[in-house]
Amino acid sequence: MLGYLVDLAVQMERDADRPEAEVHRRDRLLLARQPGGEGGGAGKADLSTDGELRRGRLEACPTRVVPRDRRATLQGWIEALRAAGEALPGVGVSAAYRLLVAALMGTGLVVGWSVAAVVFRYDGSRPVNVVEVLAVFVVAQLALLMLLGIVLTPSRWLRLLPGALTVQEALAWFSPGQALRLLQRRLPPGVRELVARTGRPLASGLPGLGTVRKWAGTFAAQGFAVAFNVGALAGCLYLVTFSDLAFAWSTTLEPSVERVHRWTGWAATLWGWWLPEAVPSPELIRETLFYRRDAVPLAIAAGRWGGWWPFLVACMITYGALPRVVLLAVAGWRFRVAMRRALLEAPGVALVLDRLESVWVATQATGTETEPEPVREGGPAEQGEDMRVAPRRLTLVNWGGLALEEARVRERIAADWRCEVLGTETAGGSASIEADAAVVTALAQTPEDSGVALLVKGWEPPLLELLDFLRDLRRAAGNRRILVVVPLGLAGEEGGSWQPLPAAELERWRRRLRSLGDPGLVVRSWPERPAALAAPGGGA
Amino acid sequence: MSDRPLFAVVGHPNKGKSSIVATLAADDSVRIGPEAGTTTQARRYPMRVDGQELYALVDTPGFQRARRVLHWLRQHERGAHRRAEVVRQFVASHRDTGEFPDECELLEPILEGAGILYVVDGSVPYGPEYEPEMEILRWTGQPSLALVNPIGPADHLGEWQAALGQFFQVVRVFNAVTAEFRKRIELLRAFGELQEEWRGVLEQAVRLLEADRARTRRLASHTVAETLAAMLAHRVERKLPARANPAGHRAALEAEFRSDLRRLEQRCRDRVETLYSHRRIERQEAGLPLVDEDLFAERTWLVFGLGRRQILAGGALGGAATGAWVDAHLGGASLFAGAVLGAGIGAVVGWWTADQLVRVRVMDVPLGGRLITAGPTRNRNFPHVVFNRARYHHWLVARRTHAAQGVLAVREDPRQVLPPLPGEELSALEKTFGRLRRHPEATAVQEELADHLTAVFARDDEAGGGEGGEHRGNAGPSTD
Repeated sequence: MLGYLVDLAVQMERDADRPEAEVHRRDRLLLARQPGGEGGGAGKADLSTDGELRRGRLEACPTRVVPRDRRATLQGWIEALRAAGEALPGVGVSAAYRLLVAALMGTGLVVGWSVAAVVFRYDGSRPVNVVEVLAVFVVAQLALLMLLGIVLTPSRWLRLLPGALTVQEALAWFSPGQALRLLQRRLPPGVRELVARTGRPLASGLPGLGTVRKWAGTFAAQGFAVAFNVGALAGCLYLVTFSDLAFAWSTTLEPSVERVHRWTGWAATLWGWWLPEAVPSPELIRETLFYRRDAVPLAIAAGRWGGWWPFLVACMITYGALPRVVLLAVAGWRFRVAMRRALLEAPGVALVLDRLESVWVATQATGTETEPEPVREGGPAEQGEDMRVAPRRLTLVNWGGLALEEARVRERIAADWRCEVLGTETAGGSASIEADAAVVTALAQTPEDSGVALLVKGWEPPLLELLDFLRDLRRAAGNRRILVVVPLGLAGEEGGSWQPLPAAELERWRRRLRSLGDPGLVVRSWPERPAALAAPGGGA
Repeated sequence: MSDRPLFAVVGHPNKGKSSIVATLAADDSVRIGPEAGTTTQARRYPMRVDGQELYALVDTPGFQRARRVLHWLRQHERGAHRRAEVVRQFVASHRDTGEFPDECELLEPILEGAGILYVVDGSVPYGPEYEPEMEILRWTGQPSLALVNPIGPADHLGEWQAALGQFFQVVRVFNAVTAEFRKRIELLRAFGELQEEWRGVLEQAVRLLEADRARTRRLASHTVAETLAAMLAHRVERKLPARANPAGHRAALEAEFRSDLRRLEQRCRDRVETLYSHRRIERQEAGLPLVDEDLFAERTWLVFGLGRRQILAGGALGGAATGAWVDAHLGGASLFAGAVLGAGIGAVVGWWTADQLVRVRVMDVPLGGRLITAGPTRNRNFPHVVFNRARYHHWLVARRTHAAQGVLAVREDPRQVLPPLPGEELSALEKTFGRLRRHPEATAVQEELADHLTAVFARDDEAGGGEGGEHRGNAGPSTD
């Protein structure tokens, strides 16, 4: 479960900056290709191609399917990601954690045994001090347990106990996380950045991981503590079994025997009723009090030397090992609960599930659009408002069915361009190909020093059809003839008069006709005059 | 004929075919430009559901030599019942000659069984040069629909509708730049009228697109809710020497704070736009107003990040331990008075020591100093401002078509175009803002806010409408 959780955190962090559509597509394909998934088939998913899923059943396809076991869906998704080659650290982190717990337990055993060997050390010169044993294996452990209790208690409960919250805050400073942060500050900048980047998903990707981290740490620590106690007990029992130990008690505080007996009685409440030999008697207490200045072995009767060990072992088990075992079990249970919760309830997981459960819909193109061929820059064919060689005589061609009043157009052209209009032809539009050819032939027969002016709809794009006509005309009429193309702008709102084409659109016409490479081809704007040249209604 | 509906978008060059495809396919990668012949090859825009194609649109080049093609077809006519065959023959014999590349490219999908979507511009006059194109399309025998897309003022709709009605089964007006999601769905349904077999698939497509739209709104809501939470919790801090004057650093700190908030907001904008498949939006938005007189705080900080409270707690713990030792010495007779007294004395010493430690230097490194912070903002109006801006931006993005190329101008006051929230909803939102301010990291509160936003966004999206003036550039008035 820990591995899934870590991978979930890491993957969510990675996906945060990826386009949602891309991630959605990937995940749906991954899920479908899982064994038992709708796409069927196992193995490594190919993320580069679209699968043909649920072919033939799409009309019945629901927009969203919520599975019964959403946790299993998430786990399946993570497994699919791993199978698809995503480098996810979850399995490694999980294994490392198990290794850490095992190492801590091994260390705990060794440390427990070693501490027992030191505390229960007896070389015959001085007996093992019972107070020392209790201080190390009971009091110190209970104190640590209390501090752990404060750390683990939710802060809202600690508010009820004055000062407890402050203690919790102070203890937080000694947490492993804080120690790691301090350690991180001491690292070289490059390494520090690397560590921060690696740890970021685990630290901030899933805020719900905070609880998981807390119980993971507690579980590992309790593993150490249980092993420590087991090691200590084993060491103690080993020494009791295979060597002779003399126990006595000694303290400067000088409590009375009755008080010590009362204390030991309290301590033995839990086992005294069924294990009376593990409860020190007043006589034992009285007879085993010793002072270092005395010759101890002489002061204590030989039969009393081992009288304390059942009580000490019972104390170590009851107040040392058992609470730790219980805490280990609780931490393990809370750890699992926290992981299961975090897997489904951590922020952002709802959106991941939403993605996994909703069909992926895309309407965009699958490939990139091909670049259009650049317009071939041919000959000049580009003139401004002046014609380089102004023809004295012109034949007009109405291209594309412009609705013109012929007489007025001729009059206007003649006046504005100071030339004689020889006649008007009609081509393009609804005219047939044969009619166009006939117009070309007719134009070719006009005097060689006359030009041809094509009046065209400037709001329509220059089609290849027009370019073909110009090419045919050039071929038939010879290279010396001036050909003028005049794109007209639409009539204004009031109607009735053609407008000069806006400069940008005129420029587009020029660019397009330049591709013909015809030096005798001129694009000219319609003169801006108020004269009404269009047919009534102003339409085309 | 294909079992999957296929629609070829055809017509004269520069009449908005690509714009229509961009809008219907929600794809802003479509090349749209004023130059004729921007589209040189047919390009498919399939609607895919979990990888399976449901239907596809095909953007095609415009007719360039329609009269010549029609001339050829007429020359080879073998009766009305074999006209489609003649068109096929035309494509086969000219595919590799390079003489009619655009016509071959646009006719091929139609010959594969595509329905015809013939696009014209309703803002320019009808002309006879369109008739050969329509005649060729009629020769293919495929179901057809004409779309009048007014690129400019729709002054010529009537004449177009009259002319198109003679050639096409269905004629619809569809402004590719201003059409909202609802119009897009309506048009998709209209495609189903072309062929009985396509209706079911297209209804399913509509259902899926609507569900996907709702999901996109949910994601956008979450994005905004997360951002709002981050902005409400945001603060910046600066460590200063113990004797430094914090006033001199306030301006820089405030600028950094504002810049961070702006960055968070901009990231949110980018994400919302990406969710709606807009990747190329140029955005104009006024800076985030921030009026907060109580933005700054100042406190002593100590080395290793220990603050005054931690020092105090440490002192109390030490004092309590010492007192407890005395209690133990007295055999418990003192009833833990030693521990309590010790904790008190320790706490006082800790409090006093914190101030002294700030001035201590170890190996010329100061142990502590001052920490000034800016934020988080306490302005009650702030979340409302952020919410209104995000709501307005979402509304603009959700209704913006992928053919729109102008700047997205996010106005400062969205109340001019969006209706105010009902009092009850506003009150619930205010409460959620309050909770969010207290617990910005709480997932449940963020989810709660996201739910509010989803409802608001859905209402805005479904209401559509509003004015169309935000899209500067080529946005024309809606005529659909």
